[in-house]
Amino acid sequence: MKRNPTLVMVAVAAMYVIQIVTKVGVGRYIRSPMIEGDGWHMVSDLFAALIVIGMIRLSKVKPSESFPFGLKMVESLGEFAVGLSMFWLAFSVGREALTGLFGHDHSSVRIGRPYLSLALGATAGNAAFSWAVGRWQTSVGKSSGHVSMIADGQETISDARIGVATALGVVGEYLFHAPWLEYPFALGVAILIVKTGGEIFLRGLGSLMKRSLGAEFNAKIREAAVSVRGVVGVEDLRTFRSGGDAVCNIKIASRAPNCAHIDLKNEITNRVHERLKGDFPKTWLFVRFVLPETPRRRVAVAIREEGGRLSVAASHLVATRFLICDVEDGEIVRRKDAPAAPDILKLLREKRVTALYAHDRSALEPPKLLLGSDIEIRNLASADLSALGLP
Amino acid sequence: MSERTVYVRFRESRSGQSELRYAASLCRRLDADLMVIAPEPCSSMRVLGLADVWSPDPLRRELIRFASGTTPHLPTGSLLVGDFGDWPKNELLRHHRLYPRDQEEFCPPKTPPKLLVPFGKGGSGERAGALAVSLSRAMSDPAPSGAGHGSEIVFYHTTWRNPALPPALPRLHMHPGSAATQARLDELARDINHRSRIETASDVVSGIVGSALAENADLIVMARGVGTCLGSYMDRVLARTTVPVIVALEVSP
Repeated sequence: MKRNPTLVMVAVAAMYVIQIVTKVGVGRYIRSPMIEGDGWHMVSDLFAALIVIGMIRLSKVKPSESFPFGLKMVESLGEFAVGLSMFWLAFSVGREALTGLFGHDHSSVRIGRPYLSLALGATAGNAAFSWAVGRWQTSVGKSSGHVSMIADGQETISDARIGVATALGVVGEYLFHAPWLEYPFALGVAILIVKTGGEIFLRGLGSLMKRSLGAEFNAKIREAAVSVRGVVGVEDLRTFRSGGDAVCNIKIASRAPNCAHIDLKNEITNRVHERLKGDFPKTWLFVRFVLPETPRRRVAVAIREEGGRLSVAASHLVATRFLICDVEDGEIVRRKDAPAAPDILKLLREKRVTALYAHDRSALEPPKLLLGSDIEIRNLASADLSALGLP
Repeated sequence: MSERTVYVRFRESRSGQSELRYAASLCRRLDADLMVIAPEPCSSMRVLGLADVWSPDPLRRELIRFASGTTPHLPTGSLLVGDFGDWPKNELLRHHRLYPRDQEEFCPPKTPPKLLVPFGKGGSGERAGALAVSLSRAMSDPAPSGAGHGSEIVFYHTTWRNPALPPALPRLHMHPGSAATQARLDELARDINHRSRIETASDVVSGIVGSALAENADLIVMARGVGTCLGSYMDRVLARTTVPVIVALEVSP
């Protein structure tokens, strides 16, 4: 019972039945439309609780080919509906309060000593009851990951606030003979309900619209991923909620070989679960791997051939040929020979070269540009081609 | 290790500069010299001028030396970092080889390094354990530069599951020979912060690689097993892991 969401919701429904009977009965007896109206409003809460029970059952449907995430999203629909119902509740309470404040004949309300305990029992007593049950409901909802239950729990806590406002009105009326006192309090409560209802409504709507988990959670996921050795970065991250579950689609930049991806994926999954488990009981993680995106460029190496031996020339001016190399991720992945031409600049431009490598032992200065062009001249540390990874 | 010198080859490529950066980071922890093996002719000043290699935490220049030639004669038991694949195999087997697996830093600053040493019932685990202990002592020594931060060794063993025994207690599944190795490793590392991690993983390589990631290990220390004809664990771990691996030398110094 303590942690079974369905049983908790059955207890909540039973509480609503008790509250409907007591509030409507007492409200009629002491002729308080606020108390009686509050009682009738609880009929809709009772139906909401029954719908939440149905949603909890539906959300437990196992994922299938047709519904790969199961039916968890139905809970977000529940949040959305509870949010809407809270707007309606706030509107009813507000309307009732304004009508009472400006038009109702309060003289018929009976708050004498014999009725005080009855009125307080129906208002403050039920408020305390609603508050305790609402807290229990949200706590079980959080631990079991049922967001519709959390939303309904917050709605129950709002009921407690209405009860407190009504009770304050009852006390005010008893002490100061001011029967209108409960209405300003009720108006304040209506504003609070709009605020809570708005949060629940937006959360449900966000989930239905596949809104991101938010910057805070996304940062946690990124941090978890890049903490794994072998992960260079996170290229793309898309997250959303499916009911109480988190769904993350993550693109990892890594230079690790394909056979290492399964180990990286397992470790990333473990770390993301670890960081999110306090807020989401279950996380669906979809990981893809890509090579880090690095600029590709074409460079030329000035080559000097002397006695059949190749080495990097001291300058392009003394080069006998050029190696035109494609560089990806800092490594030469393709090379082609080009004989030195009379117009070197024309040759390098034709080949779309962006940098020219030479080896001048005496030079230490930073890269300079080839005269009349935007081609950089870079000084290599060695004249030996093996330093470039070339045979 | 025979001496406190780390050897790395100079290459202009991104991976070559990553190895240089990793070797420099390891030298900082070991308070060791860095010997850069560069082809002749090479401008050492130009290598030192590679700002992106040495920043943001430069190694003291007096610790960096240069050697020329493709296969200079190194003392047996030297520590080689990076790709020396074109060196003669006999020469390579005389040294400890460290493969940085594309990492650029030995371990994050101000955190004690963690070494994972897989072992079984064979002698390779003990050889790897001896190297790990030697490295760990070198890192724990109060070096003049204050580089020592202590370290931790995790001895790792995974074993085939015995279906007759409860799966929750992996130690019960251990072969007596492996248990004896563990006892010897515990004795070897008695003065060093160490512990054991025993599992019944689905396969040995997945267990080693997965545990290295889960433990946030900075280095996997292994030695080649004797008598494996095909599918050496060491080769398979090297092909699959993203955690740097050091392989112990294969002839006694």
